[in-house]
Parts: sequence; structure tokens; C-alpha cells
Amino acid sequence: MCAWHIEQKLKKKVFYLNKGKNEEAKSLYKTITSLPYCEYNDAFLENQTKILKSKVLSENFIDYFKEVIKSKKLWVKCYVKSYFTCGTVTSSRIESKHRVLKEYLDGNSRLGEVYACFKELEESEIKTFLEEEDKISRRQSASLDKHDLINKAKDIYSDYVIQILKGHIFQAIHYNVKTENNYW
Amino acid sequence: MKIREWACLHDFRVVLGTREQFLKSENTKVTVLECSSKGCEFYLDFRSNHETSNKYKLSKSYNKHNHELKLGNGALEITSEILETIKVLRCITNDPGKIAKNINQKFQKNFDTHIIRYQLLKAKNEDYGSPAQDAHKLMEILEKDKQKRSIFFEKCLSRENKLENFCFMSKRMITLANKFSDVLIVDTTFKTNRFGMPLLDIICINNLGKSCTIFVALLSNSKYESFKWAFEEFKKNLQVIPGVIFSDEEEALRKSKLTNNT
Repeated sequence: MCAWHIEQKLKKKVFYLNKGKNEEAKSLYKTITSLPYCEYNDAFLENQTKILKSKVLSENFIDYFKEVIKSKKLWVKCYVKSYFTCGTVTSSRIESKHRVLKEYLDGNSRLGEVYACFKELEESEIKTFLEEEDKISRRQSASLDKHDLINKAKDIYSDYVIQILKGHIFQAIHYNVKTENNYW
Repeated sequence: MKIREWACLHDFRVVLGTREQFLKSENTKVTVLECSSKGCEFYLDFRSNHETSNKYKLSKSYNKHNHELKLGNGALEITSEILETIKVLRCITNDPGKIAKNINQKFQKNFDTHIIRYQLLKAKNEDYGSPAQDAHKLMEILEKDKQKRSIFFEKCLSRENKLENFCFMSKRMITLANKFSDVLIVDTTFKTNRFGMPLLDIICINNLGKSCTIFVALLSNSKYESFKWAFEEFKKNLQVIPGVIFSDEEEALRKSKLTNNT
């Protein structure tokens, strides 16, 4: 589940804590809103008991909080970390895609337009992928020029030999993912 | 009628304010249009008898402004060159205001936004047909692409042969979905088409850390059944079990995800 959405839901319920001059309430507000992003298990448990024991909060909220916590393994960062998630905790990646979509589409566009829009977006995706791959391969070959073996070989051998040597060293050092022609 | 056509072609930029009244003693509706600039006495007084007919008639008027009228370029001055640039710009943005600004700069004209908006609508009708034929046209395009580019698409029709929901995946999307199925993110958006259908899409993260769309579906409503249908169609193309799926806190979406054992 998206951590940001849960943070927003909790924020709505305890918005009144942040208004007054009470320092204790303000610090409690901060711990509640930063709860989904807890990095470690101990810190999360500590904050949880702090919230459940506090006297400032209403009973309604504490009941609601107990309900939410039942599914904590789905949205607290420290539990989500145990799976491979590419570092994502929120659904912000897809939200940014929707932002791009809204540039082309609005509430009055046709179904055909929706399809054409996705076609175009796919082409741009392929373009950026190829550009990115090109950048990486260029960076790798630039780093090869500084290699000690090639520096020494430059004085003795011709360019043709050095190019072949570069290919061999490249294969030995890097784990390179090759793209097949029919794949992309 | 002729006057109306002439007014449409030559775009007068006068901002008019309206004032409506209902006179009980004469049983007539009165609407008065007034020029909104300061001290100007221009007005048009329309009246309609409530019993005899619904048509309005001009009864009184004062046809003089105390200021000069700004004349904008009208629809007559749109050339084929401008039309082409409109069609090119249409691919970049959907905002007629931005397009009008761009064209006014390029050709040094003074077009108003509503003229450009009308031209955009015309171009849209040429490409996708009238709004009533929309679904039929889309199905034709999809069938064509199915043979040409070997895309996957599925539709769901109601009893009255109406299009309820449909989804599609291109060939590239299917390969991506099978290669990078570790992390998927699911979400829905609204306001993407004129029928109010929510759009469900799934993205994955590829080997360079960029996000790619791998599944698109337009659904008739945001209920559990339609979400379930979409996920089942998505599952048909998957050969591996996805690792983690992120979503927001929508009950129907979560429920349909769980029932599919993904």
C-alpha cells in the first residue's frame, strides 16, 4: 500500500493537534505523520506505544489507529523493506505518469485519442530508454581509456590492437546486458 | 441569421453583461445585454411573451459605444498553413490558450482562444469521427493494430451491445511485464475521456530505474467486478508471478488484487 496515502488519512484525523501552542501535542503530531516512514522496527514500536498511551488523543482516533495498524506490514517502511521494491514506498511513480497523461487528455477527449496518446507515450519511452543506454555505454568506454593496461599498450601496439584489447577487457570487467533485436 | 454569421466571422471583442427580469404585469421575460466598460451606454433589450412564443425579440437598443472597438482576426483569416501548425501543436498540448498564443506569435495575428478551440474540435472530428461513432472507430483501429503490430486487446460488451470496458497491451508491454515483474504499481485516474470511464493502469520499473506502462484498461465503473475483470485479463499475459504490487487505499482495488492470488 502507498505510505503517502495513509499519511494523508492520519493527517486529516489529527489536524487539530498542530494548531495550538501546546508543544507536546505538536511533537505527537510529528510522530504520527512520520509513522509510515519509520526506517527501523524498534523505532516504530516505540512510537506506536507512545501514541496509544497518550491522553491528548480522543478515543475515536485510538480505535481507528488500532484498525489501521493491523495491516502495518503492508505500509510501514521497515516492513516493506524486507521485500525487493526498488526503493519505492509510495505510488508517486504512477502519479507522475498521470500528470503527463493529463497534458494530452481532458474530460472531453475521445476514446480514440486515449489510445493514440498511449501509442505516442510508448514511442517516447523507447526513445528515452535508448538514450539512457547510449549514455551508460559511453560512460563505460570513457572509463576504460584510463585503464593501466591500455595506457601501457598504447606505446607498443597500433590502434587496431588496442580496440580489440578494449573489447576483451570490457567483457572481463563489466556485466553487460545485451539487448536482442526482436526484443525491443 | 446573416448578422449572426457576420459577427461570428469577424470577432468583435466586446464584453457584455446580462441582466434578466420577469415582468408579471405584462407576462414577459426581459434580458438586457450591456457593455461592461465604464460609462458606455450601449445596450440591447430583448423581450419575449411568455404565453405566445418562446422566441426573444429585440425591442429597444442604443447602438453606440463611447470607446473604440478592438477588432480581432476572425475565422476567415485562417489559412491552410495555420491549420497545419494547429494540427502539429495539438499533439503537444491540449490547451487552446497556449496554442493561440503560439500561433499569434508565429504569424503575428490576433486570434481569440475560442476560434482556435473551434478549429481544434473540427480537427478532432476529422480524425476520430463524430462522438456517436467513437467506440466503433476505436474497435476498428484496435482490430487493425492487432493484425499489424500484434497487440493484445480484450473488450467486454453489455447485453445491449454497449461497450463496457476494454483493455490493451502492446507487444513491447507484454515482454516488459514478463521481464520486470518484481515491482508493479497500480492506480486509477479520472477525467481522461468524455464518457467518465476511470482509467486503470499498471507500471513496472525497468533495469535502468525508469518506470514503464505495461497495462491500460478503461472501465465502466470503479467497482470490484470490473477491477477483477481487468486483473484477470492482465494475468492471461503473465507467465511469472509478480513480486510486490503497490496501490493506494481503495477497497475494491485491494480486494480484487487479493482474490486473484497475485
